[in-house]
Amino acid sequence: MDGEVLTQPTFRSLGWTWWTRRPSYLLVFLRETSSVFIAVQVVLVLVLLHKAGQPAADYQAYLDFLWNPGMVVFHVVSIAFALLHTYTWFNLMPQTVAIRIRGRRIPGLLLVAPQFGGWAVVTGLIIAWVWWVGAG
Amino acid sequence: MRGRSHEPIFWSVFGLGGIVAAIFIPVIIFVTGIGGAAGWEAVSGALAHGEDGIGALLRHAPVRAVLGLIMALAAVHAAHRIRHTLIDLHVHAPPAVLIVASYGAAAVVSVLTAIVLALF
Repeated sequence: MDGEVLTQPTFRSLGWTWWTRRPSYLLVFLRETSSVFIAVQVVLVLVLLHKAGQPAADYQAYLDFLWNPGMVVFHVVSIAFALLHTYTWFNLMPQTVAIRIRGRRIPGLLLVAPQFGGWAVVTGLIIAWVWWVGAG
Repeated sequence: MRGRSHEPIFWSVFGLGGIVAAIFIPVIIFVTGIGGAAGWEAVSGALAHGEDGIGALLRHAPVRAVLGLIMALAAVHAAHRIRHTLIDLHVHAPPAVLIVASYGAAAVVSVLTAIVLALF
């Protein structure tokens, strides 16, 4: 996964089936595919926010659609792709940011680990907040 | 062949959107699409219609502003990646068409989100 985000011109010379050639290329392709799921989920949330301002029956009909079993499968697939994006994005940081202390590059782990820590804290706080509002 | 010097602005917004999407999109999907559907009443209660539910989540303006910013940045990030992935898959469309379609769609989503949240 070393810095492919900047090396896509390589793939352009391999034909459109480049992603079938190596497992590491397939992972890059899946990582890029995460953007499609992120885009669709943003639109679904936009519609949810719009429906929230409509009469209760309209809003409930949209929730019923959003939470029907087929859509839940889609959400689970989406969250898997979103987490793949999270994982790959955080791990990309050492390739894009070089912080030096006394002339030495600090180890990649020191750049990557705090991001996962911060992500876990933010995720926990948001779920706790939603929980608190929903239980209140 | 190397370098993206022609699009540093798009790339920096893409990068910011990448961080924002990495941090917030999984939990947003969980809260809006999975928790309530899985029967977790605290989540479905928080998303219920009206002042005690989603109205309480969105009551404060800073929350709406941050949510709008998250969605806009994630949309630009996704648009940028989708555009480059289409190019990598050798989709033959004029570059200008891809640019207008991808960033244009992200701009429309961003503006609609801003309007919906401002009117909430």
